Amino acid sequence: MAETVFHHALTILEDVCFGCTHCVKVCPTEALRVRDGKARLTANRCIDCGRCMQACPVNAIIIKQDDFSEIYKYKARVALVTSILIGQFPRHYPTRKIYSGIMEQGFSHVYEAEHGASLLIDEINQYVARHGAVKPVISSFCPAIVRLIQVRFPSLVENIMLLKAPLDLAAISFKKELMERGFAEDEIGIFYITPCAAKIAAIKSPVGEKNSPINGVINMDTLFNKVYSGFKKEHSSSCIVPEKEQLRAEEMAWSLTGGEAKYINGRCLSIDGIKNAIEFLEGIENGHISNFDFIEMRACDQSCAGGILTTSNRFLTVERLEERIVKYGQDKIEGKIFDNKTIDKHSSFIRENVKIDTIEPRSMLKLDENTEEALRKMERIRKIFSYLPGIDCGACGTPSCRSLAEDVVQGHAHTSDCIFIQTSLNVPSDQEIRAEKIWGKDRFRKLT
Amino acid sequence: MDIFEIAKQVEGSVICQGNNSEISVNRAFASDLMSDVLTLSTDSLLLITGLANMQTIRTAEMADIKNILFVRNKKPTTEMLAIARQEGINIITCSKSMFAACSILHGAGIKPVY
Amino acid sequence: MELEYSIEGGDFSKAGLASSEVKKILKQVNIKPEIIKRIAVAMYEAEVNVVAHAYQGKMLVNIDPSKVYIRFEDEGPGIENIDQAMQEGFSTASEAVRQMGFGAGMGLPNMKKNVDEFFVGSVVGKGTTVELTTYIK
Repeated sequence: MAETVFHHALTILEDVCFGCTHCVKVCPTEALRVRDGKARLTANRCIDCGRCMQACPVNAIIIKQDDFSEIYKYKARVALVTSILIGQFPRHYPTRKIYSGIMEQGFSHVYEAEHGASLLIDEINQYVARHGAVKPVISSFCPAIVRLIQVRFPSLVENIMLLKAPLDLAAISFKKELMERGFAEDEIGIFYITPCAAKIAAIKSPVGEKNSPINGVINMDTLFNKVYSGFKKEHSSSCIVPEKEQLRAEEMAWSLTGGEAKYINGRCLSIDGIKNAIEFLEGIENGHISNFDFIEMRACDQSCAGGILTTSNRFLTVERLEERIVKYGQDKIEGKIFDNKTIDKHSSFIRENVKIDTIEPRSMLKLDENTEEALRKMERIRKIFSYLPGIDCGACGTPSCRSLAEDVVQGHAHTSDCIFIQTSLNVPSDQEIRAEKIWGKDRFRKLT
Repeated sequence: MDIFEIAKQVEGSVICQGNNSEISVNRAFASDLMSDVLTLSTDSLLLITGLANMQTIRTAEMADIKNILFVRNKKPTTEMLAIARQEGINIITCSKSMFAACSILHGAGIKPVY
Repeated sequence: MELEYSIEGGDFSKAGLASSEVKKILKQVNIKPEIIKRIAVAMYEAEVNVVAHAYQGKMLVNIDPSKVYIRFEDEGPGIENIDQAMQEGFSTASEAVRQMGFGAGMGLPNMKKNVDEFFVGSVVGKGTTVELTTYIK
C-alpha cells in the first residue's frame, strides 16, 4: 500500500512553541511528540480534531487557511456559511444583518451550508434501511470522526455512512444554480467558512471523494472578527439585501448535537465529544453496544457549536440557534416563510451525487505490516515498558511511558530519553531520595 | 565474527550462552556509562564494559544487545547470569583492560558503532 | 506472546477492560480488522460472563503468527448443563445482571459463532474454563 500523506490543517508555529507537553498529552491519536524542544506532528496520525490547539498555553498551534484575497480571483464569490456562524453573534443582530455584513467583506453571495439537509434526511433513512447487515450506520457528517475511525477503529470503517455532508450538497447545487444563472464554472469561487480544522482537511484531501466542490476555506473566527468589527464601527450603513432563502428548522439544527439523529428512523443516538466518541466506538467494536440503527457522532462538545474556530460560548450559540428555530416555526404559522428553495430545484441532481466512494481503513496503530515482526516488536515494547516508571510524566516528549516504549522499538526514541532511567543509571543519591519522596520508594530503581 | 572467536582473541571465555541466542557480532561499543549504552540501536552488537552489575544486564535487555564482554576480570553474579540466559544474552569475560580488549578486537575487524 | 489479566467477579464497571487492552494489541500486531472484530466480540462476551457469574477469574492470551488463543479460567458456580447453556436464549443471569444489559443468553453461542475453535468445560461448584482459538493466517 502506498503511503500517502494526508493533508492536515493544524500547524505548529516553531518560534512560538516552547515545547511543553500539553498538546502531546491530549491528542486522541498520539500524533504529537516533543523533539528538539518543539512539538512535532505525525501527519498521518492527525485527525484534525483540534484538541491540541485548545490545550496549547501559548497559541502556538494554528489552523492554516486560504488567504482572504483569494476570493477576488472569482467573479461569483460565495461565502458558504454554516448556521453556527449566525450563532456567534449576539442575539440582537438579525440574520439578514449578518448576511449583509459578510457581503460587505467582499462576497457576492452568502449561502448556508445546511441547505440540503432536509433532502439528506430522506437519503439517510433509505441508506439505513438498505444497510441492515452492518449496524449501526455511523454518520459521516464529522470529518474528524471519519478519520478517527480510519486510524483507530479500522474494523468499523464499513459502518461509516457513504453519503455526503450537507456542506458538499449545498456547494454542488449552488454551483450548478450559479452556472444556470450564467456564470462560467471557473468564475465561481465557493469559500467555506469553517468552524473547525477537520472540515478544512476534509476539503483539502477528501475521504471517499475525488475532489471537493469547494474552492477555498476561511476560518470562522477570521470572518467573524471582520464582520463584527464592522458592526462595532458602523462605518457602513448600506444594507445589501442578501439571498432571501431560509433554512428549514431541521436544517438550522443539523450542526448541533441531535441534529441528525432526531430525523432518522429506528434506534438512534447522538454522541458528542471525542472521548465519548472513542468510548462508544470501543463499545460498538466489542459488540457490547449493538442493535442501534444510526449513530450521529461529532468530535466537539456541543458538536459544531463547540468547534475550535468559534468565538462565542458554545452554549450561547446553541441557545441562539434554538431561538432561531422557534422563530422560524412562528413565522411559518403566520405564513411568513416562502419555502421556495434553490436546492429543491436541483434535488434530482443532488440525489444522483449524494454518494461517496468507499472509505479505506488506514490503521496507524500497527507496529509492522508483518504480524510476526509486529509480535517481536510488541514483546520488546512490553519489556521496555516494564522498566519505565509508569507515571506518564511526558518529560521524554511522548504522551506516556507506553508510547516511549513504542517509539524506542520503532527507532524514533531511546530508552535513555526517560529522565528516571537516566538518573537511576547515574545515581546522585540525594536527588533520588527527593524523587522517591514524591513518587514512592524504588519507583525509579527498576534496573537494579 | 562469532562470540567464541571473540573470546579466543581476548584470551577470555564464554561463560554464558543465552537461550536461542544469536552469536554473531559485527560492531562493538565500549562504555561503563549505561545511559550512553541505552542510546544505541545496532544489530549484532557487542557491549564491552567493566561495569558488572544487574544494571548492565537490564540495559542490554532494553537496548536489545545480545552480547556482553566483561573486561578486567569482572565476574557477573549467578543471578545476573540466570537473567542473561533467560533473555538470550551471551556473556564473555576476560582479564584484559578495556583499552586492550578494544584494540585487539578492532584489529581483528570488529567495527565501531560510530 | 503471552498476556495475563485478572478479572474481578461482580464488578461491571471494569468489565471489558482486559478485552480492550488485548484488542489494542491485536491492532498493533496488524491482524486483519474483520478478524479482530470477531475476536473482540467473543472475548468481550467471555470476560463479561466471568464478571456476571464468577467470583474471580483470569484471562490468558497467547498470540503467535498463526493464531490467537484465549483462555478464561474462573472460580465460580460452574455450568450445570453445558448443552443447555449453548442454546441461544438460555440464561441463568440474575435480574440485576439483565438490567445492566447483559445476560440475554447469547453469550456462549455467540462466542462459538465468532471463533474457529471453541471449548467450554466446567465443574459445578468450582468453576468454568472457556477456550477461544482464532486462526489469523
